[in-house]
Amino acid sequence: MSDVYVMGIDMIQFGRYPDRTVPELGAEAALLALDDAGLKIQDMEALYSGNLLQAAAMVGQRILQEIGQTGIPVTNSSNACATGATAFREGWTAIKAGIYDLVLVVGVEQMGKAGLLGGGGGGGRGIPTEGLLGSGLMPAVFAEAGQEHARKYGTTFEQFAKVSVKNHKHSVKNPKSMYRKETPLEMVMNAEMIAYPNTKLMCSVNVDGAAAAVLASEKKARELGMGRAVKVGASVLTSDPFTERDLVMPDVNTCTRDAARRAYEMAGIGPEDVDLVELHDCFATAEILHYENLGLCGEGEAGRMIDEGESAHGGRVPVNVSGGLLSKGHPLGATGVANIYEVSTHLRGEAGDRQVEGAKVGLTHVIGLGSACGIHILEKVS
Amino acid sequence: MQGVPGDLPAGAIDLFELRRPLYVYSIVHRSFPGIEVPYISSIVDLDGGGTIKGNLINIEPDPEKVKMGMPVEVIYQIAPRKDAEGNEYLTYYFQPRA
Repeated sequence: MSDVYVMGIDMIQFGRYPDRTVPELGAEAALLALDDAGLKIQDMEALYSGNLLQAAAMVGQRILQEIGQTGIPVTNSSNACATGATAFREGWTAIKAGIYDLVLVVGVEQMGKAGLLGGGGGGGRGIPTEGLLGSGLMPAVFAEAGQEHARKYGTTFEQFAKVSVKNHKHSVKNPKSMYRKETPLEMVMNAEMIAYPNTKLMCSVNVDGAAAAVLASEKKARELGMGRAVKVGASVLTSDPFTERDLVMPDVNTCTRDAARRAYEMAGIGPEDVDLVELHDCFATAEILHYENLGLCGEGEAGRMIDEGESAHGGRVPVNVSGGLLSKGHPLGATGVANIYEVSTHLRGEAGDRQVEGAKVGLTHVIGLGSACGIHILEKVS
Repeated sequence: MQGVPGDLPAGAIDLFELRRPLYVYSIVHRSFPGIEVPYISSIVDLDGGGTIKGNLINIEPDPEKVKMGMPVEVIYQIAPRKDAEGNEYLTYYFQPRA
């Protein structure tokens, strides 16, 4: 089977665009990615579009109405917060299968100030269960997941908060981030408590955003020139296998561990070979869990890893140098493609003053609750 | 059985008892409009398998007071909310066990 290469990739700055539509945002990212590849929409053989909040509204086709209705097959994907990674993987799968040589992938979301996501019941019969049978709100769900780590290993509120300090600091150097402000530890810990131990600054930012990529078969990549190409070393998607508490306490760990194991195997590398990681820091508590889930440190060592700065820019394995979902923002359907943009940009050596020097291999990870985990391993070609 | 509302017909619902400790929790300070905060969202394993989530009550919503692993029990009360037709609902809560 052919290897798959990223030939063009880009994203719009994450932010709030109330005067624009979802297809407009997606189209802008698509054109940026096509320009980056030096190609046109007429060159694309298929479009894989990821969007969650308008999942029934044919977003991919509406993007083509903006940039060229060439009649190519369009697949619209929706997979919670793994939507963008899922669309990317659909494109990867089609090239792997030998069906196409060039495809376009777009992830796009318009969230506005969406407020709290999740929560249970109340839409119809009965009474709302939120705040009666505990909480289904995302800040609490991920707080509880973090508390499980605290229970096992004694991880502290301060250690969770340090994740947010790090990612906000990283975002200062990323012109495509929603926020670019440092948030010292006291500011993070004293921010409004949303769901202990997650304060407001430990929750990802609801924003609008779009990111897009052009994928090519090896044959086509050679034809176009491999100079800035990034190889997709692994593309893995998992769902959550049955675990004991999954129904009331969504298990983001097992599906991530399964995906990571398969991804390392597919790429023929180990976690020690990874130079940078963009992982799903939807809440500060989540990032701590994923250090261990992705094998970036040993079991129970995640607290030490954040304390010692190993995941900071310049550390042993920099995590979320883009600013992550916590500061760059988390436009659900765009997030998975934007993560791939960030890692690809470093592998190309084009990340400016936030460049991770000498980066050859990077990993991206997203989790969609319910659950879906998408992991991609990307490799520098030349 | 402790905490069963007096006017509940016998056998109306299969109530359960609990001897397991609090597994994990979060204290929710921001919720949907109209939902009283703070509340303690708690996860408890059931005797014999299965896990449920519910509010932990009769304890201060303070991480200094709520401890993972602390013994809790189940109590039943009429929920402080009614549906659109005015019907009442029975709900369960956790509370610290002496």
